[in-house]
Amino acid sequence: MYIIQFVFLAILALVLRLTWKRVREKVIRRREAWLWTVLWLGAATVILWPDLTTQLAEMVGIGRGVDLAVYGSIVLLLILVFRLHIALDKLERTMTKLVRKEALRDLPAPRTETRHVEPSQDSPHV
Amino acid sequence: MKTVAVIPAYNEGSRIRKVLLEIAPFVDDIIIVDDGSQDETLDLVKELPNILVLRHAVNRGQGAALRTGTEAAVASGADIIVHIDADGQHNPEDIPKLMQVLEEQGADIVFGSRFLGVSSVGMPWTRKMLLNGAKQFNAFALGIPRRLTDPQSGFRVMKRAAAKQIDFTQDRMAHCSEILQLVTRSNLRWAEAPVEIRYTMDTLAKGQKPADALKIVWELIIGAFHS
Repeated sequence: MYIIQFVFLAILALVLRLTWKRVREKVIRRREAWLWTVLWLGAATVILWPDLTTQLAEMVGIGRGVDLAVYGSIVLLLILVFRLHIALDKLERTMTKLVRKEALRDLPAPRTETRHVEPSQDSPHV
Repeated sequence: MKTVAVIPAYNEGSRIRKVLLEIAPFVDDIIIVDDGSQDETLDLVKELPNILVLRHAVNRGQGAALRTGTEAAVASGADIIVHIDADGQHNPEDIPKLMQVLEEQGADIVFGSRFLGVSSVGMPWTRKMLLNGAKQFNAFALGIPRRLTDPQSGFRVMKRAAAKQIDFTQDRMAHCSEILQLVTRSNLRWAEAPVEIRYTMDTLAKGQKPADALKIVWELIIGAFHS
């Protein structure tokens, strides 16, 4: 085993441990943790047997395993960025609700009478 | 029948007084939502009589301010609610015309349109092209009928019940398309009426830019993923 493989596996082991620690702390849900676990174990498999990526790349019609990993990473990053945007938008909408609540807090009670303004002669008021 | 104009305003100090005085003869009440302006907009409108001024502590966008104002109008007992811009591009003399269509056609909401015969003053050809593109996008991506001629109409008049029903949540410029989508997919009766839009160097400088079209598309895409 190369040193780089050992380093990456050590990092993955720490990340995996952290993932399940967060489950115990109820920061993330168990289902989400399983998804991450599959991802980390997949990465560990690729690190241990790098030739697997080449075989997989050939299967999907991409020349080299490393190219498949790069393309896959780009797609994954795009998905993550998109999810971040959605989360950010939700946060923005929550902020708007708070700002609105504050703006409407001192809204005066409805008036019973209404003011009627006669339009000027030259205006085409119907 | 109590008619209330809702006007979102952001840094409109240079023209807000004139616009409000122009609108006042055509409505019973005015609600202005100062959307976190950093200029003297708030101070200028606070002095004016018969105007309810609401303030967003931070800038949240035109759609958000419009919704705040609409909720306030409904709460204040408005029967008819008018959405109109603070920059003077909309001609307040069109308000009675929109209300007439609302009444005569028995509509719940009437959208002002730049493309029904009344020529807009100073509309650049780039804006015309952009609006045509927006119309195609609205039709394909949002399912808004093509017979709706103005894809970004911000000048509209609606009945109280319609205002309560239209649950628009887009904070920024995408609210126009969102409202069109919500209305045309609901049981609400809608109509369009010609209005005059007055473009000036000033309003064009502050108004929407061609690049904003991409922002609107992006906001609508992100918005579609909200449950």
